[in-house]
Amino acid sequence: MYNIETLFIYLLSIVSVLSAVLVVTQRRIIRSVSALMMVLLVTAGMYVILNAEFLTGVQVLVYIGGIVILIIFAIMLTGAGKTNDDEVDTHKKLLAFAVSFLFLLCSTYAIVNTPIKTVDTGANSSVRALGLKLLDYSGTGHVLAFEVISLLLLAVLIGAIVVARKTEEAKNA
Amino acid sequence: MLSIIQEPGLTYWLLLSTVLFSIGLYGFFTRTNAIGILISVELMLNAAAISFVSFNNFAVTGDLDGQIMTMFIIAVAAAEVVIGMAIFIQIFSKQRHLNVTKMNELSR
Repeated sequence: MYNIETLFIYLLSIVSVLSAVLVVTQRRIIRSVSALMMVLLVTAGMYVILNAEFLTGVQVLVYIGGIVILIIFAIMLTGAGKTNDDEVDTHKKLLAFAVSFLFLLCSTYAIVNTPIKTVDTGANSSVRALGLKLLDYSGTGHVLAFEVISLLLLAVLIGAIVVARKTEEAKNA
Repeated sequence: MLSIIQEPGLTYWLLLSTVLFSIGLYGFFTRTNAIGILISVELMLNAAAISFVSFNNFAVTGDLDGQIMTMFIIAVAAAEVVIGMAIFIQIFSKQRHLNVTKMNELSR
């Protein structure tokens, strides 16, 4: 017996890993961003399977609709879409491959050999439950982190305007 | 024959997250364009988010801490990209390139 959901999980995993390989191997940045969009979209599908429906919406809205578009804008503004990324030396590539493969081996060893007690989760992952958890100040909630994040976003808003605006010497030139 | 295919558990999701993280790490080391490095960092953050959500789905009873943490990861990633892009555009307008191997001074 097999069900369609299991096959769907494997399909999503294969697509995500192949797209991730494309992200790091394409020399053109704009193609790499297209592959990144695919990875993020497939991840949104994984969140549905992992019972996190609200995060699916957040992933599509914030990541694909916000971050990827912002990266594409930056590529167009800096002209990186026309030029290819510089080719790095083969020995540097080998070294990078060795380091990341070593990381993969170590963490795979750790994951396989750690006994994690999986439980049957009865978590109510509705938006209401998420919101109550986020604004709960009883000790198990995350209201402090929520406030810090809002402060961070405000600081980013101001910081981006200050950094990206024209400097005095650019105005005079 | 198809009975071999079984429902993937927590270990499967964690391994998938690790593979994606390793690919992002490789890209982080091999890119020379600053935007390419930021894209690889996004890939790694996404892998970490997958592992948080899968822990929340398989190893916690009746709680949503993993999903909340993923929401914070997404918020911090958005903040990071906004600031990164502002800095990159400013660097590009000064130096006309975004090659990190040639960026060796903060100001001219």
